[in-house]
Amino acid sequence: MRKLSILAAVVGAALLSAAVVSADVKITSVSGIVRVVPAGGGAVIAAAIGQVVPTGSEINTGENGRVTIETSPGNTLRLRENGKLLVLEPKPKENRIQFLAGRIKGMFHHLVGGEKFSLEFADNAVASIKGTDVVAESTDTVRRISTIYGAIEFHRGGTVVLIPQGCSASIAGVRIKMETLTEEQIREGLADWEAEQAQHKATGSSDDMKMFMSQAGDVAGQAQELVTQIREDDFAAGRTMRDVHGNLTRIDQRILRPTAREVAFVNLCKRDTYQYKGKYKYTGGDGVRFDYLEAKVVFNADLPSSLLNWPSFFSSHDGVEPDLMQVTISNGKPIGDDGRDMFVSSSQKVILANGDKDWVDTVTLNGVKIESDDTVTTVDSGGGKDGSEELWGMSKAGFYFDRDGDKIYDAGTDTKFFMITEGYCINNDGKILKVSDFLNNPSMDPIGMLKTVAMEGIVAGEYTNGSAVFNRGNIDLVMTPDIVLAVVSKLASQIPSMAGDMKM
Amino acid sequence: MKSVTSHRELKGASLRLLLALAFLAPGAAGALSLTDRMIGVATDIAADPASFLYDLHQNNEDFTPVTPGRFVEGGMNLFPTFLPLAMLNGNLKVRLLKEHGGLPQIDLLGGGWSDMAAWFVPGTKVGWWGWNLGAIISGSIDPRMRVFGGYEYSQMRADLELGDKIDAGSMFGSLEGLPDLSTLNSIHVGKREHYLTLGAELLRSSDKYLVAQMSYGLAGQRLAARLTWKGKGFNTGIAFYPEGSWVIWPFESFTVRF
Repeated sequence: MRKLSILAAVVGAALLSAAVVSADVKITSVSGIVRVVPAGGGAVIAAAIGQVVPTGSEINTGENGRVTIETSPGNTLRLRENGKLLVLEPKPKENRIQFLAGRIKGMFHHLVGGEKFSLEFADNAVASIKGTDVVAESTDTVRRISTIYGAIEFHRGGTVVLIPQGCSASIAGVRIKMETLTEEQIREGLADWEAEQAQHKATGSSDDMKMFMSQAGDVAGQAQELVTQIREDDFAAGRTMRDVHGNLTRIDQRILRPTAREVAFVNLCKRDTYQYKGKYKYTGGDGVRFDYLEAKVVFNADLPSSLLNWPSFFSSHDGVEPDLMQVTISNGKPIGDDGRDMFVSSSQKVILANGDKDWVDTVTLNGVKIESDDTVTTVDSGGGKDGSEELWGMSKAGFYFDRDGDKIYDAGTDTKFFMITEGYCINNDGKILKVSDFLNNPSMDPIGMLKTVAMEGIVAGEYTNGSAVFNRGNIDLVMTPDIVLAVVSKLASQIPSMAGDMKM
Repeated sequence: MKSVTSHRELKGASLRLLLALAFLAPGAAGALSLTDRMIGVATDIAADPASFLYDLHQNNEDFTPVTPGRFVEGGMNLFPTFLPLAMLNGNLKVRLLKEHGGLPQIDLLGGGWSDMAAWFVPGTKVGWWGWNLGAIISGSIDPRMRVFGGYEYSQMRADLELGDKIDAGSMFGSLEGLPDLSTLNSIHVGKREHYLTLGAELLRSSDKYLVAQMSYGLAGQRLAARLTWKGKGFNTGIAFYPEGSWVIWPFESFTVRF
C-alpha cells in the first residue's frame, strides 16, 4: 500500500511538472544596448547570450538595441529598439510576458500539448497565443497586435475577440478595433528579424561602440551624456579578419571625446566563438568573446572639439598638459560582467609639497595592485630574429599581487605569479607575417600593406603552482593600424589650413 | 471613408452583375434565343438527368478549408438547394492539424443531404440524396492568402419506385399483341465522382474571405469551379459546371464557426 502511495505521488508529481511550463526565459541573441533589470529593481546588468532571465525581471533595449528571447523551447520573441518587457510568473501550461514598450515579433511554432503564451498589454489586454506568428507594438498612443500566421484570441475586460490571420487588433478607447494588415505591416511582419539582427551585429560598429560607452558611462551615471558625445565625425575604423588562432574577429576602433578635457581611443574585438592555438595553455571558454582596449588621456584644460585644431591649440597654450593617462584592457563588458578580467595601467599627475609635479604609476589586475618581481627575470622569449622568421614574441615574467601596496613582496600577504604575454604580427587571414613579407614585396604600396596587417597581443597569468590567474584564461586583443591611417589621412588633407592657423 | 464605401458599392455591384449573368448566361450562350436555349437545357436534362441532379447536389457542398483560427465549421446551403428544392443539407468541417511551424493545416470535410419533398410523395417510394467526404491541406503563402488542395469523394443517388406499373405503350393499337416492352416501374439514377481540388483563399477583411477553387473529377473527367464570398455567417458565390446542362449556379449558404 505504501509503495502504491509513493508511486501515485511520483506519477502525480510528474503530471504536475508536465503541466507547468518552464519559467526560464533565456536570451538567445543580443545586439546593441540590451539590459536586464532584476526583479525588485536591483543593479542593471548587460544582457548576455545564454542568460536566463528570472520571473519579475525586466528586459529593455536602448536605441538600436535588439534582443531575442526564448520563452519556451523553440518559441521566440524578438524585441526591437527602445523596447521593454517584463517576465511574469508563469501559469500551468502558460508562459507570460508583459509587453511594456517597443515592437516585438513572436514566433510560437513549438507550443505543444495545450501550451500557450500570453502577451499582456497595459489596459488589461491579453493576447493568448497558440502556434502563431505575431507582431506587436506598444507605445504611449498605440497598442496593437497583428497576426502574421495563425490566429489569436485577444481578451480585454471580459471581451474575447478572435484575430484571424492577416489582421490586427488595436486598443481604441474601450473597444478593440480590428483591421486587415496593410502592405507595410505585412512586409514588416514577414521580414526576417533574425537576419536583420545578425546583420545589425555584424555591421553595427557604431552600436557596439555606443553600447560600450553606455555601459562604461552607466558606472558614472553619465551614459546619455557620453552616448550623445559620440559624434558622426569621430574618427572610426573597423575591420573583420581572422586572428592568429583562426577565429573570425571583428575589430572596431574609434577616437572619442567623452568630455571636453578627455580624449580616448577604444579598440573593441568581438568573436562569436573562440579557440586558442597560442604558445601557452588556455583554460577559458570557447564561446562569445568581447575584448577591448581603452586608452585615455585627461588634460588639465578643455581642448578644441576638433582634433584638427589641436596643433595650433597646443602651440598657443603652453600650460595644457595631461593630468591622467590610463590604459585598460579587459576580456568583458564594462558593467554587468562579473567574470571579466581587467588590467589597468595608469599614470596620474600629482603636485608635490614643493610644488613640483610628479607622476604616480599604478598597475592593477582585477583591482589589485601588481608589481614586477625583479628576482624573477623573463624566463621565456622568442620571436623573429631575421627576415626568414615569423614575427611573433612571447615572454613569461615574474610579478606579484602587492596587496598592501608597499611595493615590497611580503610572502604572507602577497602572491607571486607569472605574467605571460604573446605578440603576433598577422595578416587578415591570421597568418603570422615574416619580415620578408614586407621587404620582398616592393609592389605593395605602404597604405595598402597597412590595411592587411594587424597586431595581436595576448595577456595571461599563471600562479607558481600552475593555476590560471585570469578568470577567462586571457585577454586577447587584435589591433589594426586603420585608425592611425584614418587620422593621418584626415590630418594630411588639412595641413594647408592647419599651417595657416599656426602662423597666426 | 468614402473610398471604403465606394469599394463596397463596387463589390456589391459586381456581385449583382455576376448573379444576373448567371441567369442570363444559358440564354446568351451560343447566341441562341432564350427559348432555344431553354429547350436545349431541357433536352440535355432529359437525356442525362443524373448530371443535372448531380450538379444540384454539388451546390450543397462546401469544399473549402476551415477558417484560420477556427477548429470546426458547420453550415448548410440555403439557395438553390434548400430553397426552393427542399434539399435538407448540412456539412461539417473539422480541423485536424493547425498550420504551424511550416506544417500545413489539414481538415476533414463531409456533408450530406436528402430531399424533403421526396419524403412526402404519395404512392411512391422516392429518394434523392447524396453525400461527400474529403480532406483538404492548406497553407499560407502570405498572411492574407492561403492556397489549398484536396481530395473529395462525392456521390448522388435518386430512386423512384412506382406503386403501379406505367404502361408506356400497350394502349396504342399499333402495339397490340406485342409483348409489353414499355412498362416503367422504377427509375434509378446516380453519379459518383472523385474530385481533386485546388484553390486560393484571400482575406478581404476581418473574418471575410474570397475563395476561388477549381475541381477536376477523375471518374467523369469533369470540371467544376467556384467563387465564394465568405462572410461572418453567410456565404455568397457562383458555381460553374462547364459540362452541365445549366452552367452557372449562384448560391447562398450559411456557416457557423467555432
